[in-house]
Amino acid sequence: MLQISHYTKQYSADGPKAVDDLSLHIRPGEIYGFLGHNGAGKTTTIKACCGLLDFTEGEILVNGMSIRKQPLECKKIMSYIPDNPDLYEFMSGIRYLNFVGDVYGVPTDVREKRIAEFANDMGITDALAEKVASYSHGMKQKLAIVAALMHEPKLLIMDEPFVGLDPKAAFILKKFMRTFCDNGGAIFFSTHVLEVAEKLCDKIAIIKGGKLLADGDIETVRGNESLEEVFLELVDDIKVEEEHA
Amino acid sequence: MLKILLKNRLLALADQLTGQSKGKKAAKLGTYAVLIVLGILILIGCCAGVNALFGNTCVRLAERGEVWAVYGFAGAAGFLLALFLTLFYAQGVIFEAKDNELLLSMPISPSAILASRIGSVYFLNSLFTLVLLCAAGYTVSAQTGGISVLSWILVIVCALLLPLLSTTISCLLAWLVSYITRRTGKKVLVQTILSLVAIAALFLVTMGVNKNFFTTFAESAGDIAQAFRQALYPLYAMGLAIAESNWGMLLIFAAICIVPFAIVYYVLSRSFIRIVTARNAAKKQKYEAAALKGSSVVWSMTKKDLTRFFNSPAYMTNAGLGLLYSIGLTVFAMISGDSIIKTILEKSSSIPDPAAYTTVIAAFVISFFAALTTISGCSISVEGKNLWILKSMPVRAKDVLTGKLLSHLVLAIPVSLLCSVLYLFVAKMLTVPGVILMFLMPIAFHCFNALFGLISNLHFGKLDYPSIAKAAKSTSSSLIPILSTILLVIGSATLYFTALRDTMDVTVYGIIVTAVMIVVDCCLFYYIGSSGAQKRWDQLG
Repeated sequence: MLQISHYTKQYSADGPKAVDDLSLHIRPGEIYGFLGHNGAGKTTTIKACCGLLDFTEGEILVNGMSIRKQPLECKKIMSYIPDNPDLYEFMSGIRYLNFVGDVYGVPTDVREKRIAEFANDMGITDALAEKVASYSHGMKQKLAIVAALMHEPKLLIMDEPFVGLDPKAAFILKKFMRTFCDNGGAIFFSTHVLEVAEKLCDKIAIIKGGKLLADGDIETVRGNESLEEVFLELVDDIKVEEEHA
Repeated sequence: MLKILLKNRLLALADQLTGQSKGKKAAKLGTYAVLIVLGILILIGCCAGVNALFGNTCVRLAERGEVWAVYGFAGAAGFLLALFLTLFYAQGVIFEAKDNELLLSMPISPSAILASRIGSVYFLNSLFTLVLLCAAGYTVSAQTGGISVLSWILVIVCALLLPLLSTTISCLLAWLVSYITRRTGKKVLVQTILSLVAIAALFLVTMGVNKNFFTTFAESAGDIAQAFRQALYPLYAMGLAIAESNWGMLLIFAAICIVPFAIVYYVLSRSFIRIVTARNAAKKQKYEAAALKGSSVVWSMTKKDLTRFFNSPAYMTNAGLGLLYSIGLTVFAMISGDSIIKTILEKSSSIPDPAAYTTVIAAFVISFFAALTTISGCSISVEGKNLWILKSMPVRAKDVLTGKLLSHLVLAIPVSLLCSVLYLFVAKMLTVPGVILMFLMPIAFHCFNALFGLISNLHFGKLDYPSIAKAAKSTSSSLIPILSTILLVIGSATLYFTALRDTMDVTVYGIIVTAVMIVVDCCLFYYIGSSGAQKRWDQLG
């Protein structure tokens, strides 16, 4: 569903590589977690996958189509949820969702049904008449999630999707992510919450300084250790037991 | 602590003025230097301008021993200008600042936070007042053979005192706007009404002063002094304090400025936490599911841009000023149309076809106001932090840009048509080609302005403005269509009256200008659907 091959991003010609020769493959049915410290290159990669950011080398294919050469076709089958969703604050929630429905060409009866379902799941139905400007961070995040699901994408790309969500919404989102992938969808998301990644992901990739340190099935990557221990060893060169000792 | 807070506020203000929030220190210093040089040039220009415009009046006043009135008028102008320009700034910086809660959580007294915020409002107000009072001082000095050093010192002292008064009123009005907004939840409506009232008041005061005051001023000095004393006593006291080094008046003026300021500061500092942390008291609307109406992508984009426009008072008043002017002009034409046409005809005895002339002139005038409507000129910049939404969606640049173009034109064209229709009632002398021209020429210029503004914004627009209001106020790419449209309208009218008047019929010329503009519009419209525009769009963000 999403194939990243030798992806390299350099913001300036003489500057360092923000991401260096990254290759990942996210298949249908997989929840793929993308882990790394702040500034590791997660958001840069995610933005490139969504066609928001051009890149220096490599190729990114969405369902076999190049995000560079066929951006519109790629975007039709995927959705992006940023870490800090700056939505149209001048619109009401329902107008924003209707706008998204218009752009993706979702029939009105279908969008009504989906809005009712997803907004109810996220607990924002009552607030849909209010302007987005009056929403809290978590509410905006929930609205962005509902908007992202409007056109039933095959690929969901999310940057820190659990930030700002209350426990109920986080639980619902995790449940939804699993159902979404069980029905053939694919999810590629970044997170700092290792527990979430450990419980939710089928595969993970760990990135540091723009370079891929490890990737694969969660069991393969962590071996006999917890994900937290593996992460700290790989990223920070910290042996957890030694630290404790 | 106050010093640090004040320094931060002033640096933020400088960054806002220079449009620079990050960058190398040397580059920042360079920009500040340019800003200072620009300030000095404005001061020199103001001095020269006030002297040129009011020099004669100053001489007459000096002959009557009423030089104080020059300072009084300058003070009034500075006061009004400061109030008008800093009212919404005061509201934003004092009551709606995003870092209010952060600062309140720190060990900083609310009064210090408030003082730093009011300090930045006061700083801006004092700049306006200082420039105008210095210009008044220069004019008096130039026209009366110089003024004493003491008078200059008093000018500076008064320029520091008077802004306290405008700051006090700015703070009170800002508090009132915040209070009403919180109670009603109608922030946009309140701010828009206040903006329009402020613009109208400034316009009426300026017109009134121009039309009546200076005429009366030259004739009956005693009446004016009396009027000043009664209606604008603080400025009367200030004028006397400067012109006659009257210490008693200076004390009275100082008391008038300082006491209300101190009271307002005290009251606001006591209730600052309550005011800035108060929740919106307006009742929340509960969503009730209703049938949704679908639209095409382009129309959906247009509606989105129109919603943004009508939800930002700053966007409306800055980018839609041309629409207001057009309506104002039409109302003015309805009231004074007959006398204007008579004047044109009386002064143009050699004009072979007065009906055609007045129609074409009116078409050019309505076209001129197209230049001041810059809705599309900042429509990409106002996307700012929201740009990711459009860029992550499967939409072509052509659809996004056409939506922005339409959001400009659906507002501009009806206003243009309204102006043309109303003019037809006034004109009385009409020809069929003239009537067609009357409708088509302004529309052609509106389309040019919208298209050229959009393309300028696409290529030269900035996207890192912190808010829609800031983008609407600051987008420099808006200047390109404004100047281009003005140049084209004035240039084509001047070309006819200076070079082609004897060789070509005015209506034929008007039709040629309109036809050329329509061709240019078609070329620009073709461009926004081209791969060049798509490529540029892809590079944004």
